[in-house]
This record gives sequence, structure tokens and C-alpha cells, in this order.
Amino acid sequence: MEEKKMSEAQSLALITSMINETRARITKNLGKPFLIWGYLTVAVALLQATAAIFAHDFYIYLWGWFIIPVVGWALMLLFNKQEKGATNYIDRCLNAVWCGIGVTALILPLILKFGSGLFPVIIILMGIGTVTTAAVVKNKTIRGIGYAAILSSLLFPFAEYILFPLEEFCSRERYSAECIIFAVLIFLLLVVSGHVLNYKEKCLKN
Amino acid sequence: MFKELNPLLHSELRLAIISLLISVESADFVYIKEQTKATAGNLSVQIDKLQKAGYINVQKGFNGKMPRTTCSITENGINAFEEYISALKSYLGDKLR
Repeated sequence: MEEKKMSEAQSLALITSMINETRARITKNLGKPFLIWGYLTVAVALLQATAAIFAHDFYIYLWGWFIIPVVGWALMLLFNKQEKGATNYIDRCLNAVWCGIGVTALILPLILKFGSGLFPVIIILMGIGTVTTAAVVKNKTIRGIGYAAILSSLLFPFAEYILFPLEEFCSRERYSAECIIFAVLIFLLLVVSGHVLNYKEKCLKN
Repeated sequence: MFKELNPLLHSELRLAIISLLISVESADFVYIKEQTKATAGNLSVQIDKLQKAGYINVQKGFNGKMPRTTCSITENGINAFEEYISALKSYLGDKLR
């Protein structure tokens, strides 16, 4: 491509072609991660279903669920090499959403296993929302807060298990402790993030 | 009355660079070279012109041991591109309808 003058129509054609090529790159290989995680999860779930019926020592096979993150990430590294050279807004947002969901998928079983209620689930959902917002506005602090909140949802089973023995499952004290942890995490997640975002906006205006 | 087309953008390679950068957050030199099919020397000169005009940011760094030049469009660049499109519309108004 040389530095030559163009007609107006040629300019428009050039702009359209460059934008279309970039758009084609965005949608390239978009289905691959779905197929990798989809087939793997189906295979492991069917394996579990079979083991539940036929295996002698079935509980050992429950560890088989961990095949999904380990093999999944290995396959992603092998087969989902992203085209380098350009980064775009959509890549960044999709990565943030799926990373948030991936971390959630890892810690949610732990939370459910210890019988924690709705609070950690709400924290996780808010965390995914915060991580996604951080990706959209390109803010590392908010992204850190979002991931920290998702991981902090593990505080619920931990605190309950340490502070309250299982026989006090429905006690007022336990509920009160849950509410306090919830309030602190929501404060960090939404109130602090809100102030950080407002501060950044003010800095940009000045 | 037709608006004047920005002479800095009304050149094939510079317009290609700006059109490419408008739809990504950043792109490296090799990627822009592949997409525009320009020679490295010519591309370098045009990127320099766009940078001096404040239309793009150029960051030089390393990817491992390999040098890497990354370009991204600036607010000025976006405004200039929008004005260019609006001027183009005034030229092509009748044909676009």
C-alpha cells in the first residue's frame, strides 16, 4: 500500500474493508472454547454417572471433577492460541466474564459443600459484575477488588465452620455473623468500587 | 459547500492505519504491516506522521527479546477520523442515499 491520493469513494471502500477485516478477526475461533469446555464437561459428567452406578469405591471418583479445570486449561493452552498482534475491547470483556465464571466454578463447590447460604452466591455474582465492569472501563483496581470479592466468598464457610459448630446451623449468632461478613464484602465490592470509579472520572474531567 | 478532507488522513496508507486502529484497542507494527500490506519503511514513515499529528500513540517495548512497537488511536485521532467521515459524507451524500 503506497501513499497515494484516493477518490472519496475509494476512501470509504478502504475504511469499510479495514473495519470488516478487524471484525472478522474478532469472531474468529469464538466457538472453540465452548467446544473444549463443553465436550470435556459432558465426558466427565457421563464418567461420573457411570462410576456412580458401577464403581465399587464411588467416592474416589468424585475427585474426577477436577479433571475439568486441569485438562480444560491444558487444552485451552494447546488449541485456543489467540491471534496476536491486536487487542480489542470485545476480547477483553469476554475474557473478564469467562475468567470470573471460571474462578467461580472452582470455588462454588467448596462453598456449597460447607452448606453456606445465599450470601456467598450473591457476593460471587456481584464480583463477576464488578470484574466485567472493570474490563469495560479498563480499571485494574476495580478488577482486583472484583476477584478479591469472589475469592472472599470463601470466608463464609470458613468463618461459619470456625466460629460456629454445625449444630448451631440455624442460630441467630450465625446469621448475624453472616450478615456482618456480607455487609463488609458488599462495602468493599460496591461502595469502594463506586468511589474509585467516581474519583477516576473526576480526574479525567480535570 | 463541501468540507475539506483532512490531507493527513486522505492518503491510502494513513487512512488504512487509522481505520484499523479505530476498531481495536491497540495493534502491533507487524499486525498493521500484514493488514495494510505496506512495506516496513513506508509504514514506519506514515506512523511517524500520524504520531506527530497526535492521532496515534506509539509505544516501543519488548516481547521477550524481540522489540515490539504497539500503536493505539488517541482521542484526537478519533475526532479527526469522525470529521473525515463527516466530510466524506458531504461528498458522497447523494450516492449514499
